[in-house]
Amino acid sequence: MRYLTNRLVHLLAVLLSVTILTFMLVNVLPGDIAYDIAGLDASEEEVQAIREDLGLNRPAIVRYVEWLGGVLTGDWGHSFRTGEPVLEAIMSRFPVSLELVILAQIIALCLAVPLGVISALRVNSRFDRVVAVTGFFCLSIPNFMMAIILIYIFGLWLHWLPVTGYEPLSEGLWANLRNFILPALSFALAEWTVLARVLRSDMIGVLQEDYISMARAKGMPVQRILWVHAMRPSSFSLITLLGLQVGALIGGSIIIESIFALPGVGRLLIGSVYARDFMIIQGCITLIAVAYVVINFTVDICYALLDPRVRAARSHG
Amino acid sequence: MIKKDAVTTNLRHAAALVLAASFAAVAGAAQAGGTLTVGLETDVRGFDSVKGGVYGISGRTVAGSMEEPLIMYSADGKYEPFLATEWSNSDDGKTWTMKLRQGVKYHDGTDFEASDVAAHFNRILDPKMKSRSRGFMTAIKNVEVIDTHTAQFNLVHPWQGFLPAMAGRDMGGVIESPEQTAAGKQNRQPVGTGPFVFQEWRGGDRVIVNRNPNYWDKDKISLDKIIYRILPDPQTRFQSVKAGDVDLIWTDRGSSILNAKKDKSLKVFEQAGGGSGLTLLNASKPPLDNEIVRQAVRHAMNQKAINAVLWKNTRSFAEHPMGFKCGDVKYPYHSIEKAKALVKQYGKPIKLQMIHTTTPRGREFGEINQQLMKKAGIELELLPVDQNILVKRVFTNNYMMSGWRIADSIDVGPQLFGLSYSKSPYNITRNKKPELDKLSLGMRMAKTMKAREEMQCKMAAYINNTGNMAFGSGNRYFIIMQPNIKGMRGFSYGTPYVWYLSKDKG
Repeated sequence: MRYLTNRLVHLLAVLLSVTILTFMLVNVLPGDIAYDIAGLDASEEEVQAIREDLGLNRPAIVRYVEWLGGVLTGDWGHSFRTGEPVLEAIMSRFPVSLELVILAQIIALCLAVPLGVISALRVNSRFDRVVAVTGFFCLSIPNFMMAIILIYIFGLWLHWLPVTGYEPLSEGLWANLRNFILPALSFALAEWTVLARVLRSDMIGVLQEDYISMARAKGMPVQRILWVHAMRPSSFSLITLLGLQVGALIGGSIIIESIFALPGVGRLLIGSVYARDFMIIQGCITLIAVAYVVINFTVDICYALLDPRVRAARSHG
Repeated sequence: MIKKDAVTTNLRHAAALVLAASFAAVAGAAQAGGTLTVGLETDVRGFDSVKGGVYGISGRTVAGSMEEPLIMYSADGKYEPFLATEWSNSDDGKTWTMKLRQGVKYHDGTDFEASDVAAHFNRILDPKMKSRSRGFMTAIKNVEVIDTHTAQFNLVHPWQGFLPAMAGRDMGGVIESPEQTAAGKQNRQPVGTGPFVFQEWRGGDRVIVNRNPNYWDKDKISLDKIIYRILPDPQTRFQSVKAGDVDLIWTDRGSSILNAKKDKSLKVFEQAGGGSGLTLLNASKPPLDNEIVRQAVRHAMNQKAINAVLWKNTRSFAEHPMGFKCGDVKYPYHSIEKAKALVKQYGKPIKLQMIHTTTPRGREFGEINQQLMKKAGIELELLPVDQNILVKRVFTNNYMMSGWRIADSIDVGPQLFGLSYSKSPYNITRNKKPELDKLSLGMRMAKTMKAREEMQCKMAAYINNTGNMAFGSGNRYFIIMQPNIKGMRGFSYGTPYVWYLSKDKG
């Protein structure tokens, strides 16, 4: 319990630091949203009136304290451009990014786990080499390029899947999923390689452990040895990597969301950066920081669940 | 006297025939229904005429399906009844009386009346509201209610820009529900009198509108629903129409346009527009305060080369930004010899700096100009900046040369006045020319539209001859769409009337 409390305090400190740093950085960005709102046909007086209306002429520290107070009471402010409440804007887009990341990770894991395990079992076989070559080929293609290739093949050539758009789950499962297949594949086709290589490497080590040899000697079926006894200790690095990847994807899906016109947090963030919509930028960064923190915390808990030794060590201080 | 030439008149008549045919086709196909999906390049900022600012093409398109102006500007250049059925101007030119259409209802069921018109425009004109549209309507003093269906506009001075302003869909021209506005909901949940009713706005993704069953002119509307999808990336937008995810897009990307023209599964609608590109030469920054230097720069510039490289010849050559023809406007055509001679006449080395956007098009624009200036013996330093910073530098007088634009509009007069009149807060080139001031005021106070247009031509000629602006490529609109889309009217001064389209299910 003390361990969890300590972790929580650390994570809250990280969150606070991120919000302060972001607020200060966003404020020193060159450019001014007042000019963006005013448009090309405005006068300098009109621009200054807009700045005043938005409260941009007040010191950054005053605005930060106000913003933090608002966040703690559930008011994340309003978009300078559209007047949309920030929390509403982010929460309407967060499910899109989250679904994209989850689907990408599911596809990546579906490829990585069987291929990694079989490669570990048949080290240096033809299968292992084919998986390695294919993996490095996929890894060498940037995900935006993979997206364009997939769009060309499945959207423009075969016409099997839409190339842009988003339908919420309320419109039907297939209507929702078909829009996510290509974007999720664009991520997954690069990510499975790393996951598979890490799993393969860890599992090769585990398969050489004495207890595995003992299980083999006792005639335990290979499937049981692999999936029950070897998989668990081999998955520590996999989970760590998965946690890092999920966090990175939530914030780093800007390009893929833009290419496929998915209305996610990444696209909201990049649009707001270009428009200097500080409140939205601040809200998005805060959400991404929260996501990282929560995922890291979850990964920590997963370690304890997976390995009794970790639980024991933590309970003893 | 400057006269619109016969070609323009014939073109406008032809456009009117096409328009009439389009309406006939739409009327014939009415009740066909269906959903039209339109790909937009930007999200809308909001639908409140004060909070939403001045509409761009996306704003005009989406808002136009729900909110309407008093007057319709037809493709053949005539003002036609819309929410107003009749209008008249007083003898002194300072009062306009508008008779409003009876039986028109807002989407919430309330009646459209003169008090709504007065509330709408008086709110924009109220300095406390800080409306972005106010600057373009300062000639209107206030609006009074004469009776439930008559509104009176009192002007500060005779103003021929009045009817264009009432027909405009960008600067507060479309009338919104006063109740919804007073409740603070108009910006995100618009209520108007238009052919479509707001359903949903998913920020950054789409705006959905449904057919208004009680629309006053419902026979002209065929579609059941329009989905406006926000697709800012031009390549993504083009892919979407190519893959059939959207029915229609517009783009200014030369490569997409040329690609679509070759693609037999797509239709391309093409139309010339008003407005133009613009290069600002800041008269308050030496050596650009010297007319010889400015003329050297102007002759070194090459609009044809810009059109060919940046726009892949999909834009027209523009001597001025007006949508109508003028006579000789003294356009300074590209001539390195003339530029060199002017540089020699100046007698000192000329070093200039140009700010441009960091986009590929912005960079190419800067680099082409840099090479052209070099040939003329002018050193041009380039400073790439973000669009937002470029705008700020121009407004705060922290630039020497910059790209800009004059937006397509029924009447570019207010923009031309703002850019030219020395006391205007929008005089971003900081020119102080009494002759141009005289022309600007003459244009503003002109008693007839013909006289106003003549003055605009004279202003363009003066600017071309001595001024601080270089008019650039002329607007040209390209709509790429699926072949089953019918009734395309194209753009009318920057507004594509997509809500009159129909979709052939076959």
